[in-house]
Amino acid sequence: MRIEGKTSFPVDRDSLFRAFFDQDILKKSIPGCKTLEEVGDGIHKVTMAISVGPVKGEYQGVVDVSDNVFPERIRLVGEGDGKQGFAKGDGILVFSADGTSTQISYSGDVEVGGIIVSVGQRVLKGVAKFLIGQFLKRINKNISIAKDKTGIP
Amino acid sequence: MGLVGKPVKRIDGPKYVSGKAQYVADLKFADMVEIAFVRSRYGHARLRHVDVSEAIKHPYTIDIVTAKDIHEAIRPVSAKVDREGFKSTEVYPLARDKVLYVGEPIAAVVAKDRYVAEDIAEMINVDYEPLTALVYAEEALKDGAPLLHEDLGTNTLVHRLFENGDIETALQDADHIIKEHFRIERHTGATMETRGYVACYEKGSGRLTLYSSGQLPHFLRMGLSEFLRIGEHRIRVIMPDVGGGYGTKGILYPEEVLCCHLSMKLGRPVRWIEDRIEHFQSATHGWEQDHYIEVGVKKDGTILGVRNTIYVNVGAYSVYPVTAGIEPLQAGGLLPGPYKFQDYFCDTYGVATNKSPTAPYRGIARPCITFVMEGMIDRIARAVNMDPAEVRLKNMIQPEDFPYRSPTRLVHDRASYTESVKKALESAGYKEWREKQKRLREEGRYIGLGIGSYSELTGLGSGTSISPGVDYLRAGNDAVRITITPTGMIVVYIGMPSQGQGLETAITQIVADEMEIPPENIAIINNDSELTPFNLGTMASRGAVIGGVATIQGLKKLKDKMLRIAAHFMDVNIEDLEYGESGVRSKHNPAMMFTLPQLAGLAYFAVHKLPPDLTPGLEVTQYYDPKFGTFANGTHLAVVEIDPEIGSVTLLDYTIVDDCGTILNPMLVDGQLKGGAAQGISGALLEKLVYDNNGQLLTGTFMDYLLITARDLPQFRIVHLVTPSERVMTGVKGVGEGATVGSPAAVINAINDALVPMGAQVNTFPTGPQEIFQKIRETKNP
Repeated sequence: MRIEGKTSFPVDRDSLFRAFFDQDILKKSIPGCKTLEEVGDGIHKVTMAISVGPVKGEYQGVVDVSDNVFPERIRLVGEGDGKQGFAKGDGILVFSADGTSTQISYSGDVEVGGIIVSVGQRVLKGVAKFLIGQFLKRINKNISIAKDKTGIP
Repeated sequence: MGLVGKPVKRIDGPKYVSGKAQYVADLKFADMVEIAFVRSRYGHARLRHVDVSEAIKHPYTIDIVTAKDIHEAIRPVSAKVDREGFKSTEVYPLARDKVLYVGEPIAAVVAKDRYVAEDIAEMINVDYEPLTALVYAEEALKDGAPLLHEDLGTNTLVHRLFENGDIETALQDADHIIKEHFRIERHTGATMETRGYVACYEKGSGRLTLYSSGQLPHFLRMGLSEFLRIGEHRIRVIMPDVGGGYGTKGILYPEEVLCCHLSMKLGRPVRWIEDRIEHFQSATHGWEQDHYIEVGVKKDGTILGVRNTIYVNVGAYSVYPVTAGIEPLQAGGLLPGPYKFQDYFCDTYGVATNKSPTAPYRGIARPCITFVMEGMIDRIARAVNMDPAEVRLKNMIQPEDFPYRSPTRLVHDRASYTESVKKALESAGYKEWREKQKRLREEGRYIGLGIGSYSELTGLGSGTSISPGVDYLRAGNDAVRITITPTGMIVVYIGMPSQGQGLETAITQIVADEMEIPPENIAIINNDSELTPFNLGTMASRGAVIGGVATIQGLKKLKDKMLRIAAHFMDVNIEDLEYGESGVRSKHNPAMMFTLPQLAGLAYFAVHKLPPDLTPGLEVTQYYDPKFGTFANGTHLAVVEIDPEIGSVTLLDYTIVDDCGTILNPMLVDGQLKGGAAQGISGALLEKLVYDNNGQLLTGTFMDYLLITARDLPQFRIVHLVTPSERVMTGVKGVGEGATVGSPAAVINAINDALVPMGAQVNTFPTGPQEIFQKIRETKNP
């Protein structure tokens, strides 16, 4: 399954890039995130509760963001596993500055298996895009909250 | 009374329509426990480790088993085939070191109910090492393709070449050689009742009873005996009311073996009821085939010869008892159908892939080969500029040709091939439709007419194996046991099981007529391995053909005995007596009569007065072997309209001409025809099991695997032709599969006929708006 898209953020490129390495922001932004723990350099263990159509489940996964070039691109390699299925993905986030705002274009391939794909394949791509959209929206929101707290304009 | 030939309502009908039928899931036993399975989520993977350590600690766990726990108690399920080019596989009821398809059972959890069992099953962790999955037959045949069964050294489970005459010369002599690639996608029976089993082992008596929603009570008993290592005489298989079989329930499944094993181990009833996702993932599939066919024809449309290569994707294993051979062999063996040509070359492969195993599905290979052959006839018609009906009439086995020997050595008895085509044209108003088609085309509307004509070998006996190379799949051993009870009621124990076809009604009609008694005095017992004589089970449309004759022959023997009893007690010559008015009477003095209850009373209770050469009681076991089977046939004619803007297909008119020989009950026959046509049309337009390239099943619900509903079907115009079978005493030919055979060809041919003016053609089954729209667009913007 190929997933592609882009989103604009009213945030400068450096801050946005750093947000992807901020445990607190990540935890608040990842949809259904229950736990997030950095277990190695750029390697995170994450537990998420997600529903795909009728199939609800908890997934444990590992996300590796160690392959990155500040502040331009992050390669995201992940693997998730739950009782209802599994997913493996490999994608790239490209950050391009546009004045005071930043655009992220993302693209990647995801392989999904198990009950979630037998039952939910029609909605799977939609769900994936929705989750990514939700994630990015929350990143944006949580950056602003973080800024407010620190008083940086 | 004359019930045979009349539209008698089904004797078991009220039970089904009032919710009183008893399916496996309705059975309740004290102490019964339930199984939930952990199934493979990969199409092809090595099993590194199955960790049950957490699950076993759950307070509600009754038992958990994996491969290592059962390998001593259960032999792998395997159908032995003794023939060159054929391979057997071993199915371990729980996967050992490898899983070969998504849905393959890995572990079984036993708990007090399914809810708890599923919760516990979620605690089991399986460590997989994913391997490359093979999803297409041709991909699995390539050099260097990974092997599913490493010990076999190949993915080819079946290979056979059918060869007759001289195909090279035939093609050289041809004016046109028409080539095509046809693809038939994967389908499944999608039975309304899913699979379900309850195994009850009595530790005291050492007897095992399996209640199974299946089709083969006697084969199940035989297989369970072999794979569980207990004597066949200690096993009883009962099939309660079964909500559809269609072949999907026509094998011994690993889950059945496991239910029995766990019941024996735990000493209590063990139940497993399949859910719908499990049905799509792990009940057998059918039909996936690719054909690369070429036909040589003369300018006048005469077929000279056919060359074909067939790849059948048989899935991960060869199943018991029917094997992976049945589909490919019937595909290659039956392809010529009702057509007359002798130069034939057909290379046929059955190839293992990482999909669920396949087994016969209504019609076995016939819906596929009929789609292919009839598709070629229409392409020939377009190549030589003839009407497709004319090409059929020209090339079919003609009335004067019977008995006709096909290039695959099958001898056709009298059938109405050409008559059925003519009748279909006349009944449907073919000429008028052709004119209307022209007229509407000028208005920008696209109408298409399609014919699907077929021959169907039914009622196989000992002369032709159902699956060559498998010794025990040779029929001819079908029997009925008939008892007249001491009060004169008649019970027929028939080996042939039923999954809702109405066999009981047809047999009741025969008995009522033969014995001149009301249907209320007759009981038909089937679906029980212990009560009924041995039988191969429901396959190859044999029920009415074989059961009917055996019943009549058995009743004749009982009548003879009753005549002898009456002669003795009346003290007259047997020649002066006759059977009539449900008793034995004197030909000369109708007042001198013994009724059936009186005769039964004498047979059972006047034993001391019976002559020494007469045994007590009234019971007989009667076998019937029709030897070579008999050819049923039919022609379907579909009229469709295509909306080129969106590629949609609407069925405007549909005619079924069927010839199943003598008709026992037109209502039952019409029921088979309507249901069969609906299933075939559904298969032609909607049904398709889709796997992605990793072997993941993408169609696990009825929202993805679509079935047709009455809303999308026209009223079927049904016309009967009756060509009584010359080989079967009653004249009956089988009818259970015919309409599923003719309908896909008719519908897709009609679609292609409508597409002709746009220069587009489809060659897959099913096809639908997406493909049709795509093809139209390709011709517009090549």
